[in-house]
Amino acid sequence: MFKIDFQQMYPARAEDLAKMRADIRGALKAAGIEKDEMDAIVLAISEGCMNVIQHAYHGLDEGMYEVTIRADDWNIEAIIADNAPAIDVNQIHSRSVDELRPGGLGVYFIHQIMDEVKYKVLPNRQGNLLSMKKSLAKV
Amino acid sequence: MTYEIKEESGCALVILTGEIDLYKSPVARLKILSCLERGKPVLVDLSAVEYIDSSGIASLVEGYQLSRKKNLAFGLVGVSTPAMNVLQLARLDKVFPIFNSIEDFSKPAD
Repeated sequence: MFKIDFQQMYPARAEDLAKMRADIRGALKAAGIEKDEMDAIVLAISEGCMNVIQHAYHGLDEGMYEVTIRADDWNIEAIIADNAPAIDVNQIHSRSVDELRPGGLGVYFIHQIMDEVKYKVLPNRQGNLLSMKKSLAKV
Repeated sequence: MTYEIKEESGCALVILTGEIDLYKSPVARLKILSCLERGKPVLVDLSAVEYIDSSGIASLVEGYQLSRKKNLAFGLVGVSTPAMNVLQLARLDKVFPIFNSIEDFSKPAD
């Protein structure tokens, strides 16, 4: 029995990110995840969804993506799946924060917050999947 | 996110409230940059910011970079805990000047 078992689809539009974040916050809060940890997990998931909107669907306000979150007492896993054209996973880079420039922090944030991050192209190149896992702080 | 701009002591105080995300950060960016383009030093009040993502941080970085190009002061005030956590994650908490008040920001340098 999972402590969190959440699955929801969202339109791939920036204006719908706030609703997605509110929904996942609700699920994390109901599971008793402490605020700072919850904020970090919400940020990582939202950054992943932003990348789907901007890069998988090229900001065209088309398409959908699905957020799945499963957690037990020790670990949480979030999966963001889309059915956009397959991305080239070799093009996804976390940049150095030593240079001061406006863009490219999203992937860096995901990698800083989560313990494990994996990108996959779905079979028959029917979409993409981003999976992120983190161990939860002990209460 | 909502915003308010107050002009005090020759500076523009840009007060941002709520969530600065991919949808709303273009507005924050536009307001910060347009104040700088008008020759105003800019102090961004983040005390009521509940969430900021990489696009919101990018808007602040752009403002900081433009301020340096224009030789204008730029800073942050009242950084909320959620905003500070993200600035620390981005290792920008020691890059942006952070002030206690607009009076401190607009004081002439010694």
